[in-house]
Amino acid sequence: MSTDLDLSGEDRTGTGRATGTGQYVVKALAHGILIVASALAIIPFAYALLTSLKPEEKIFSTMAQIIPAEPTVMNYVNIWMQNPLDRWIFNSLLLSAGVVFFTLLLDSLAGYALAKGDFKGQRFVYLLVVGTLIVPPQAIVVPLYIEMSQFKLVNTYWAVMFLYIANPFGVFMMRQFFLSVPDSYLEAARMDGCSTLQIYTRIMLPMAKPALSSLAVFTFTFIWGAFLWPLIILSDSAMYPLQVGLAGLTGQYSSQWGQLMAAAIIAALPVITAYLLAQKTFMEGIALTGSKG
Amino acid sequence: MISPATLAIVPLKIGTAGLNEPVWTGVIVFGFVTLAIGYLAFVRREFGAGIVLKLGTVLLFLLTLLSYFWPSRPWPH
Amino acid sequence: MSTQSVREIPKQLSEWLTNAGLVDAQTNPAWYFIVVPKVLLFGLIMIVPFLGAFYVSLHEWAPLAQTHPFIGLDNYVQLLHDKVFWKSLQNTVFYAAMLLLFDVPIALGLALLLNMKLRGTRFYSAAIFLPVVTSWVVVSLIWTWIYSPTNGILNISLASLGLPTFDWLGNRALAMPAVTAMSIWKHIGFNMVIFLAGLGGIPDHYYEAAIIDGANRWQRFRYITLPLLKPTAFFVIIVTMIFSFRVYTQVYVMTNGGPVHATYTLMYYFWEQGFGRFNYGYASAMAVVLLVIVFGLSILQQRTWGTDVEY
Repeated sequence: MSTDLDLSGEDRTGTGRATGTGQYVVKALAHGILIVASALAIIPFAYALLTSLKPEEKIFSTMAQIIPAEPTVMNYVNIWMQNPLDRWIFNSLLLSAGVVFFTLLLDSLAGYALAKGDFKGQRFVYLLVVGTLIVPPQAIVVPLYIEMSQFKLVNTYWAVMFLYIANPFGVFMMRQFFLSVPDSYLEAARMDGCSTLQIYTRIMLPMAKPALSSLAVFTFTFIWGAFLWPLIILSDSAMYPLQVGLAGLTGQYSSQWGQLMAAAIIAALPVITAYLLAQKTFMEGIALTGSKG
Repeated sequence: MISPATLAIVPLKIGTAGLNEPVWTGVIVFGFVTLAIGYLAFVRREFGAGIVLKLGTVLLFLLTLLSYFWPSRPWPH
Repeated sequence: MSTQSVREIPKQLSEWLTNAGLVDAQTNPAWYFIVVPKVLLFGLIMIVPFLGAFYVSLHEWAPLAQTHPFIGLDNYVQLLHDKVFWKSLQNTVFYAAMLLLFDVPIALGLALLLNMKLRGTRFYSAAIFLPVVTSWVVVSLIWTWIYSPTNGILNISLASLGLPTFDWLGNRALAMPAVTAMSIWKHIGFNMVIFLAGLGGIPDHYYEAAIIDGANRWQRFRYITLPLLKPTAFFVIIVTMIFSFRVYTQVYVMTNGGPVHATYTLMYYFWEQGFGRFNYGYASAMAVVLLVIVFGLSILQQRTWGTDVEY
């Protein structure tokens, strides 16, 4: 795997080893730019959080009133009681669990077959993966909707999951990973009498843990944020994932920003918490998109 | 005699759920994933599962229960 | 693989596979069973709808109609004369161009700064990456509030500095740039991490050798980092462009395409025609245009991707 993100802060390239005032100026400048960039990235979230803690009638503010004088959680209580937010979160979790699990299972199997297998049509399957990698899922939603209505799957959780489980990215990524596993492991296992599938479960799967966790995190972020397809295929608001439900609130609460921001914070919290706990895995998940393997 | 039309209803029935109905998709998906992850986390030693998988199994199991008992929640929507 | 492992699957199945010409003495049929679920999904969920998009685009297709008459290229001809379509395309190209102009260079710059391995790199990267993990709907909501004409923090800060304030999302000239600016903010961390991974892939001994040779910081950047980063940069540029042509969610949440089509993008107009007006044929014609553009870009990427730098 060629995505070894090093965020340790240790000087690896020796670029900072040279001393002198020039170096200090460069470093100070770099710190300055990075601090500004970090602040710009965080401020909108902080602003949303502050807004969500303000009483609705006191939202109209000047710069001086940006910190709420008397913070309140009423906005959270209101938005939670008036809307099935819990159900939407549950739906999002359900879709994420299904998609992440089946993506990992099917993609690691297919990636294993493409990397270590030897069968007629292997090249064709690989071309299928690389070819579908390019197709933007959004561009095929109309025919897919027609197809799903033929199968009587409109407005089901299954239909939402199918599109995302069919995503070819994971196959490509797992293939790249399994290619880096030496063939000698397989030979040895075969000598011990392992079948093809046993090699997968006993050797390949445990070995692929880092790649699998990166793929899991990447897929999870992707599904948690999925919007267009669930919006189209689901018609019952009780089945909406959080993002679709949230987008629907904008009309209902058009100027009640305190409550809208409370909803936004609630929606962002699970992913941000997971991200803060496993920052490196998250970033490696993204970095994998850029790796040719 | 089960007609094809009746069979076609099955995925629809277990794929949809109203606001106060058991979420059958959830029971199936969470249940299945719980079993699979639980197997990796608690049975298979060579997988070397960490705390994340073990906690995840418990969480997924709770979600399976929640999917089924959704309607009995005292929550006025 | 060995021949005896053919027995891993039932006898009838392996006989059937042999008769179908898929399996010979050298092939292990187990591989087919490993790969088949994913291939089936590809076929049903990706390939069939992909071909279906072309098919539907040649028909007048309303979802509830009994028949879907074949109308040839009429949908495409209609597209050519559709002012809203051209406005959407123009907005999408504008969006892509702005991302290339600002997103990619800033992401590269930030990645280079992070790669200096300063103290606090972990915090900086965590902060800059935060918008990437947050969903588009959430950041769109937050930014709609920031852009709010009377009480948004942007106008409040401008006013407190004595500068003029604007109705950012309600102004026909400003709405698209405002949506684009927010998208750049959201997307920078994504490209930054890909650049960072690319930088991490450059072997240390290149820099060590250069330092021994007395190369200064600029020379090391110019003659080592830049050439070796070229494949990554190209990848980022193409992926950013492909990604740009999918812009949809932020428009839906922030402006609903308005004011007066000012923020219509290709995907937004596609959605409006397909699922707002149930004009499946016309929407599919737009999807085909999108597919052609994305495929063109991908071929461009494949061409240059091949000329990779080996190190």
